Amino acid sequence: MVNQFSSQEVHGDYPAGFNVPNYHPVLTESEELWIEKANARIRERDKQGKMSARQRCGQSQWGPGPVDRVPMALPAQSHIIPRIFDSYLDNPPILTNRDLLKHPNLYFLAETIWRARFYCDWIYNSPVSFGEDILTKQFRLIDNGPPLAVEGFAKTKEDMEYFYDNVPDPAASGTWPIHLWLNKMRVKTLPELPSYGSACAGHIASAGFFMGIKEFLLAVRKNPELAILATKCVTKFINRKIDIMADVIGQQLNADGVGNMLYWCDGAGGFLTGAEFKLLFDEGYGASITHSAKKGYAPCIAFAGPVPSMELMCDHMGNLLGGGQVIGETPPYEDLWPVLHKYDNMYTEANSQNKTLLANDPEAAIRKDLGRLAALQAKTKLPRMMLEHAIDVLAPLPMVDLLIKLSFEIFTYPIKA
Amino acid sequence: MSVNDIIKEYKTAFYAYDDKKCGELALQAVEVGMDPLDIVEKNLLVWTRDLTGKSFYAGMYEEKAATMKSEEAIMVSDIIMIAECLTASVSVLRPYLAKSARKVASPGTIIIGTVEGDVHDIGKTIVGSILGSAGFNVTDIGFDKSSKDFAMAAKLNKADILAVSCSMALARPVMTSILDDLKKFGIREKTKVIVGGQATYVDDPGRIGVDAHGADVSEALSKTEELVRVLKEQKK
Repeated sequence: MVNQFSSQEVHGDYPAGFNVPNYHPVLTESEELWIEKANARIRERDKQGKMSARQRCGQSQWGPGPVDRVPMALPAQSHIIPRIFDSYLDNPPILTNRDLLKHPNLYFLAETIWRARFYCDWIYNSPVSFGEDILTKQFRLIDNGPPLAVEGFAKTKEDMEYFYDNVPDPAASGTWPIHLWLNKMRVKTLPELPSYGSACAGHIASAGFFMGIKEFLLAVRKNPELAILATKCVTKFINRKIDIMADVIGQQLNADGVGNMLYWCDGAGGFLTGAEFKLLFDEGYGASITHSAKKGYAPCIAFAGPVPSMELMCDHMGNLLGGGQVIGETPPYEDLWPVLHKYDNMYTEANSQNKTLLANDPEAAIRKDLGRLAALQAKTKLPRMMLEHAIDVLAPLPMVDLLIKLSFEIFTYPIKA
Repeated sequence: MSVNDIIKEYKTAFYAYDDKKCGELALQAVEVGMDPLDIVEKNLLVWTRDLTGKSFYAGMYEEKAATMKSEEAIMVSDIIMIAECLTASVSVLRPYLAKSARKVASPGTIIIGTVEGDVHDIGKTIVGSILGSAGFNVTDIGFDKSSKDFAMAAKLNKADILAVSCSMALARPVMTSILDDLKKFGIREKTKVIVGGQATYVDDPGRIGVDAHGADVSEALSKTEELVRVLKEQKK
């Protein structure tokens, strides 16, 4: 599909009238029943713990304070949640992410049931859209994730300047209104759980969508001025997303002083050397950190990077950050832990690796992996860790259940401040 | 400039990722009488192996790379730049290679592509261009390709190797389907399959039955060469 700024012209796999401000599909009576009963189960379970999920997450992220156990969630990632409808039938799944994108009601239903089924302590915000279809010239809808950027929009300085002067409204462009609606519904129907709004993707990934990843990485090396300009453009767009998302999820500081969080995921941050990250910092992350602070948000920046880059990022951003998160397959935690715990206001989201679920002896592999994390946690002064397991879509359901069971077993212990 | 001086400058340009200069120096080298095949085999490929032999990290990291300083390891950008230098050089050398007295015996024919449901293209294209520079006869069938596309291309081109890129977890079953389709086409035993990409694992040969896994460019090259050697042994 060819697109420029907003996907007003795309049809087909999208629901009718999706790219308008305040897009708000109506839930059917039976969908509302499912949502109500699933959330009732989540609330009931939440009351059974020594602490509520909001207290537990808050003390881990915003504390430091004592917690009864390490908070945990199994991310309802967009390519996995359709599995909730087919009970993990053999591949391929009956419904795909593409079906859910076309029927956002189903998406909302799937993630709510997922949250109840897999004992999540917080509302994981899996982006149905990163807004990449707004940033790119060509994108493709795929079965297993958000729209995929095929060709970047900005090839020249003039393209970038035009974009900068005409930054589109994310609330009324591309697939982002669907993403926005899901966020509204999450906060509205389950305010008890902490919510994570997503202004993803981060600056490096977005600049990659905008120029094309290859072109952007080449520009960083060969034409840094152009790379900086691209970063400046996407930052203006990201800051708009931050404003909108911050208003949607609300800060919701409660009696425990616990707020919601704002994500900017940026796995592509790992593509840059430390020096390159610094080069783009002021026009990228630096500008958005300052911007989000005005909204009362300390951002949670999810970056999967090698230890040296992570260290540089943390040192460079220091106490400005509300969270440092590590997802996916990461460097050894033993190396990463000291870096992430240099700053009092950082917390870590760690996970068991996909590979443990697919190992020949998954129980031993999961125990070993979680044991490593528990040992590190025990050495840390602050109780700043949350478990966010990334699971392989091919992992059989019994393995996923085993992961949850072992996580509760290994990480249920009182942690003092 | 003498041949030695040209090669010295060429190497400096290659290691500095100056693709434009690499093209110019490739031309100078053949003009002073260097065998174009020697330029590729004794210089470009040696430099490529040297550079890509460093630990690689790019979003998904090998443990050994994780503790290195980022400047000491090779990044995605480096690989892209190396491919640019190779492309600039080989595009200049190609007509001379065609006329070369010492004909190139291609070590093998490779079909490379990205599986259906996945449009990740960069890594696959880079691996393809580096395999091509190593003398393989490479056909890149693109991204989002079905198992039948792979099998058909392998049959039509009499491929020795299928190089399959997969970076989306949900697309992993396509790799198994490729093996099934190669069997249906009756060419599984004649075609070795190597996989790579973020959604592939080092133990995929044992897990799904492919012949090799390439964790990075360097491994893709060395394991492909090994697979071709094994294939030739089997044919004897």
